[in-house]
Amino acid sequence: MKKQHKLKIIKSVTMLYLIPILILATQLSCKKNWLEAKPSKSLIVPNSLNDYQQILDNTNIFNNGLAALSEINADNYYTTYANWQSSGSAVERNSYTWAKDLFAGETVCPDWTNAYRNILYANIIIEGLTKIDAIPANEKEYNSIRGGALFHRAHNLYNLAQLFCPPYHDQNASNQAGLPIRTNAKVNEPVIRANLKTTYDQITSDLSNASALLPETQPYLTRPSKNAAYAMLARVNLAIGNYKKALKYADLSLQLNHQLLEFSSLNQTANFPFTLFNKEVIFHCAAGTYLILSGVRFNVDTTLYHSYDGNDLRKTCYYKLSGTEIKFKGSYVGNNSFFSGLAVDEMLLIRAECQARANNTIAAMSDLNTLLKTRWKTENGISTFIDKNAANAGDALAMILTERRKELPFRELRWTDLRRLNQMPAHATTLTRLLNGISYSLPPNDSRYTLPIPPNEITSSGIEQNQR
Amino acid sequence: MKKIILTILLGLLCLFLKVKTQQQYTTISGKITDQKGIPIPGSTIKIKDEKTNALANTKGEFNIVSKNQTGTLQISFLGYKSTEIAFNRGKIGPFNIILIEQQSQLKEVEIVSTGYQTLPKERSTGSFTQPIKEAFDARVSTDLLSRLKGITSGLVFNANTGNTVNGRTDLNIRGRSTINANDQPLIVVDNFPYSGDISNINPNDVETVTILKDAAASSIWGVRAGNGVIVITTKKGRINQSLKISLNSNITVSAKQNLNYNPNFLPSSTYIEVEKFLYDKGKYNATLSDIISYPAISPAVEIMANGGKLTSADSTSQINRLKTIDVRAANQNLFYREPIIWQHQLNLSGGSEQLSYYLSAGYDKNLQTVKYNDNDRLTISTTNTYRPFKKLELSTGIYLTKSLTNKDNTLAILTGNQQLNYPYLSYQDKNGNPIPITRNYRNSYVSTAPSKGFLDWNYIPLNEPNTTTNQSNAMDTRLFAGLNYQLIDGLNLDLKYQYQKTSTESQIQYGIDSYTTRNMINQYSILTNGKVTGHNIPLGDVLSSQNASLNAYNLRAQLGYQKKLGKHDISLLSGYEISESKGSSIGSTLYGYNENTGAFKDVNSNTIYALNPSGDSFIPSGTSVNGTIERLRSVYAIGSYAYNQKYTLTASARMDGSNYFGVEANQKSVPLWSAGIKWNISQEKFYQLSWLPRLSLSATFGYNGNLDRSTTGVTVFNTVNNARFTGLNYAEITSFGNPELRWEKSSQTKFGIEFSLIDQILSGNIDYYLKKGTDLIGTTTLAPSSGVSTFRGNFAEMKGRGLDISLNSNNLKGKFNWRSYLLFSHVTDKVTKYDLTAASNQILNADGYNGKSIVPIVGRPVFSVFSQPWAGLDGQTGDPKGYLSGTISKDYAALNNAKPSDLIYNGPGRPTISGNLTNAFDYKDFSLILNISYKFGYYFRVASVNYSLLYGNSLIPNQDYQNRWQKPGDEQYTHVPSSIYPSNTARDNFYANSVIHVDKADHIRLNDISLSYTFKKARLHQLPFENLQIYGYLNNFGILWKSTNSKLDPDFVPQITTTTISPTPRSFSLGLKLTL
Repeated sequence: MKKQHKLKIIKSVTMLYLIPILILATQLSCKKNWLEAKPSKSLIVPNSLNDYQQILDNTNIFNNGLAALSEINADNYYTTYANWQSSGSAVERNSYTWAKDLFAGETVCPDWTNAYRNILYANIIIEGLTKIDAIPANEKEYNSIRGGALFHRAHNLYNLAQLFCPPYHDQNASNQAGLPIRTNAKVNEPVIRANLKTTYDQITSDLSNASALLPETQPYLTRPSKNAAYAMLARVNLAIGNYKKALKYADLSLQLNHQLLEFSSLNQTANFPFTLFNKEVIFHCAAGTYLILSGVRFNVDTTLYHSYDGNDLRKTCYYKLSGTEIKFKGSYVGNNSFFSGLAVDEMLLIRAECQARANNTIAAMSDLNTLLKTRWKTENGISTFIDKNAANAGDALAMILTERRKELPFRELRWTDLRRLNQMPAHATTLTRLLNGISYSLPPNDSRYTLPIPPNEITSSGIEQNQR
Repeated sequence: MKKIILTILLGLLCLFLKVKTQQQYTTISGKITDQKGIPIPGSTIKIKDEKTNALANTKGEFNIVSKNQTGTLQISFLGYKSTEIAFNRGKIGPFNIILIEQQSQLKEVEIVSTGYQTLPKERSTGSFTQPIKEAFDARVSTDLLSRLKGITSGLVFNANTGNTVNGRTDLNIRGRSTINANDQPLIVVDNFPYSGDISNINPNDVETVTILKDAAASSIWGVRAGNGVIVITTKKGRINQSLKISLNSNITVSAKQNLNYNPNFLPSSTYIEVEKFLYDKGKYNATLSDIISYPAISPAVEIMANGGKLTSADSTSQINRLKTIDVRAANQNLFYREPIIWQHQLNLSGGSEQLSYYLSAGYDKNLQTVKYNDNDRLTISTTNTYRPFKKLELSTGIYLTKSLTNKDNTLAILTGNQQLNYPYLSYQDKNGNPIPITRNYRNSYVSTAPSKGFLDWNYIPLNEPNTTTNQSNAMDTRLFAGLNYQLIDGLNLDLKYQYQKTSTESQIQYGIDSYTTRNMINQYSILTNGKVTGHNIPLGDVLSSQNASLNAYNLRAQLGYQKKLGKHDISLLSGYEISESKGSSIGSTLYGYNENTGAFKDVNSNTIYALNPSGDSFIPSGTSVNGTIERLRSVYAIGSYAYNQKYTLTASARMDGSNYFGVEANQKSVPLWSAGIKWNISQEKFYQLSWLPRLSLSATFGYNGNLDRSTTGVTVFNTVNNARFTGLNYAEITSFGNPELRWEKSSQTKFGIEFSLIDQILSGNIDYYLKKGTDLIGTTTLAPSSGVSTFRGNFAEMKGRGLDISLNSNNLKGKFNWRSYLLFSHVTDKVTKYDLTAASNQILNADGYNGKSIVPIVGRPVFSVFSQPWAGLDGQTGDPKGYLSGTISKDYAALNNAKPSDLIYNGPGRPTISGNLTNAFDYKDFSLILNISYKFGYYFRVASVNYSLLYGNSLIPNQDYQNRWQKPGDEQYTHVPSSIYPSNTARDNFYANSVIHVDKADHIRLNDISLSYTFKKARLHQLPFENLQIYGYLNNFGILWKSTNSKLDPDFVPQITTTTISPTPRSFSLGLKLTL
């Protein structure tokens, strides 16, 4: 009796143990996809349009911190010896003095690294999209994403070309070194420098393709739109002296947006009179920051400041006086970082310049006057601006280039303008800086208009270095 | 209880005697004692070839009756060497029998556990090591792993790594087996990998620790065993053991941290000199003129900048006052204390014929060295084994750990923030009242805050601890159930299941009075015409919580077969197991929180707000959700065959599959195996060496695996909130996929000798092993134009080899006992394949120290110390000079880009020789254990002044600045270059990497001393308990010898940016152990 009782207990206890274990074993382990479980919630393999849109919406990389070395090299500003000395890196200091040895032992350059990172992101999107079928239901979204990625690839490649490639000459562009061009996401595939022509061909073809795919408007100005692609095409074509095309695209862009800010309606005494995403903005982008160009460290070039007319509100909207120092506050980002995106004022100036170059003096002056009218003081709601007249196309061009300089400072545009205008003897400039009693100068078309490629790129990939 | 048993036994004995005396019997008597003359009650006395047994009484005395007139007595007692005594009619005692304690004799019947099976060490071919038991038992600590330090063969505790800097242990078993993947050993607790934080285990509950070192031992753990395995077994009750109660209680007190140790410091007067120099150079011009963001300015610079307004006498006296302050003294007095740790543990164990149990409760409290930081831990565990009948064994275990941690980060903020790290900070005024210090903004801005309607914006460090509560509650629950059933003779079915849940609830409540909350509210206040008109962050506390939990289960079904057929011993085991470990965490932040009502207010986290004094930002939502799953499915088999106790063959095989992300299915499973052979030469007939009664040789080979979970086979991204400018959700690519990813594989070949001299005078073992890692995850540094700086794949291979020697000796026996344990490990590793040739500047930066990247160089150890040749200082300028292809050069850019072959290879960055010497002494009931450890054959780099950092954004000091070259001739006695401004990064890098900063790290350290006295009932019969041990323990005694002339302890080398590292202070513990 007792033994039986004991056995019973044992049996039931055994069951108690065995059953849940066996159930669990069969339940959990035999499922075929048991080992397919995602090891972390945060790991997502991008495979839907929404995923790619989210990558594209990474404004931290696509719309911020882009190429900033061009502004350091350009002539919109000066800095004191003390501030120059206390600037962060040798690259900043050497850019300021246009030193031959730009990197002086430093190896990394964020302008280069970040641009290529963005190109890889764009390529991942472009490649990933090929695995998704474009069907009528998602066609718009699909095209918008693909167009956005193409736009960013071109935008970053263009920024790189302004720093690390020689200025573009139609005649010898095929013989000059361009950039390593990456059009796929295979990171360990070695790539060498393409020639300059191929580099710009890549940029313009990506932008043309993008312009065909992108929608006319986007809910956010950080997302490239059709207009952004046109505007970018206008900017690129102007840089390489293809005025016909620059005119065409500036015009296409202005057809989509020609709204201008009335500067008289801005709060001129504000710390930052312009707001983020104001109505002139076509595509929003903020430049990277270097210590030498942080708000309190640099001063605006005095000649530039004094070139504005008394009634020109750009003088008070763009600048403020801090003691005797002139400080810049006119960024379309609405804070201390420089705006490097695309805006209507730039398009008007491109169209005006191209019209002048095509001998259309009247059309050129009309665009220029349209712009300037909004920049002037008003009296009783009427602009005090009196339309400018040009005697001839050359006169118009000179006026437009002067206004271009005054309208677009600290937009990361000046360096490219110097590079291209230096090729026209009439508009060539010699840059000089004075530092601690020593004068530094950069004559037109100097080889230092092309920056050396960062040493870590040269050591890793062995691509050809620029002669400086 | 014992008394009753004894009476019954004696009664039985009497009966026995009564019956038997009718024949011609011999009564033999005697007394059994140990070497010290202490009686050994309960010793068994047997007469050879008879069935008669007797037990010694409490005085160690016995009487036994033999039916023969001559014969042999066999006396035995567990833990003592059995002895035999012949008797005859003329020699019937009383005998004085002395049993000799078997200190290391125990090892011969030592049972080792692999986590899958327990087997006699004798029958295993693998390398199993246990820490020196008496040293392990004598140590006092609240965590288990640190008890293994310096007393475990082949286990090295690394120093200066990311783990150790963050207060965790960093272990290597037999050196390094991987380059980039996880490098820490697998920790197994009670048969299953431990999923939680190992500090949840109370070391007082631990019975044994076994280190699985070679492939034959560890290969059964498959893909997780690449770095070796540490198998921990907790205490259990034993069948047929009377109730045993033991209590262990102790207190540990340590010295305060030595704040003067760290060389990254400049005394106030020198620091101010530097600030003055920079001030004169105009370094602060931009900051001082910044009336938009009002960046913080140090007090000294503030005084200098006020020069115009103050009289120069005023400012001089103010500066002079600052020069007399040493913040370290204030930190020492106001933030540090002597840490105290209390530890109590009570356990009960016992068992009847069918049931055994173990019940334990422990409580620890730890008042850490920084005030307001403490934690306590409660551990409760119970295990039961029930054996209803011979063939079935059921076991259960419940383990609970609850811990509460209070934190205060005030000091960490003060010392960790380089912008705040002035040596002349003072926290109190003359009367001891707390005073504010500059933190984020200038005083001129902060002082006007109240008039604009802001909350008080002052930062008063001493008030902070009372305004913030930072608490975390952790609960760790582990449930275990097991069943073992003997199906037929020799064949067992074993099922084991474990469920573990760890949850941690952390809460930081920043009170409205805390600086964090006031600063946030002020930053986000709505400012209209210079006055605060509203708050985007509501007034009230900020409550930030994080709940993390881990759910893990393991299930194992195993069939075992064991049979002895004549001279053949066969053991086979096969099993199937699955495991899953799910982690999740949820975080949230509440604003405007009221503790009393629980009310809080919603904030809008999707809008960009203008910040005061400048900038713009979202309100951090503090919301986060995370989840991870690790799954593993395995089948395995182990077999061993022994012939006549002379030859043993073992083999194991295992196949693992896991949800290793994005790897093609066919690469998810990986087969791993091992094989071993052992030859007990001393069992052979031809073996004649009587002085060496035990000698065996073994050889093993096998494979282990490893993986790097951060590397994935496909490109993956994660989603992040609040993109800049738009506030949209956006994605960041976290890993660029490599579809060809595979598991890492490492093989090990081992040759071992085990031996023992007669009477255990000297015994030990020697292992020589060769390791080879293939398919190791390597990082390729790609050209930046690829868009990614690093890319991972199975690119690398490495080799390693080493020697482990462990010797135990009984130097003196008798009243005074002296035993020595010598452990010696030699291990080297070498990268044999790596696709990438690193540039010099990368090589120079890779010495295995915290935060530095791993840059493998073919032919060198994974962690290698390289340096630049040094040609002294320039006598005219104080510039450092190096050699560029043999000629002296000051072209720093070129020097930093020198060919790797032009660099000096100093040696490995991790110890190649390590070990220890432990001496244990007993005299009567006193016992003393001394542990000395040594590390040799490696190098370290000392930080020196770096002008780019000293003159950079924040002033990062190093005391070498005081010895810098200042005038021609100084180069005779200093190697610190002259100061130049602006600094030259390349010059600084060259100097930092020059050979003068590399030093030998070799050192010998006295780890600990433990002394105890035990009151034993056996000696003092009136004692109401079995044993009472009183012990004292001195830990972290310090360095006895070091090779370097530097003041640094090679295990505590601070990097230039670290100001908080100093050696662990000495501690002293006092405690008692009571056994009933």
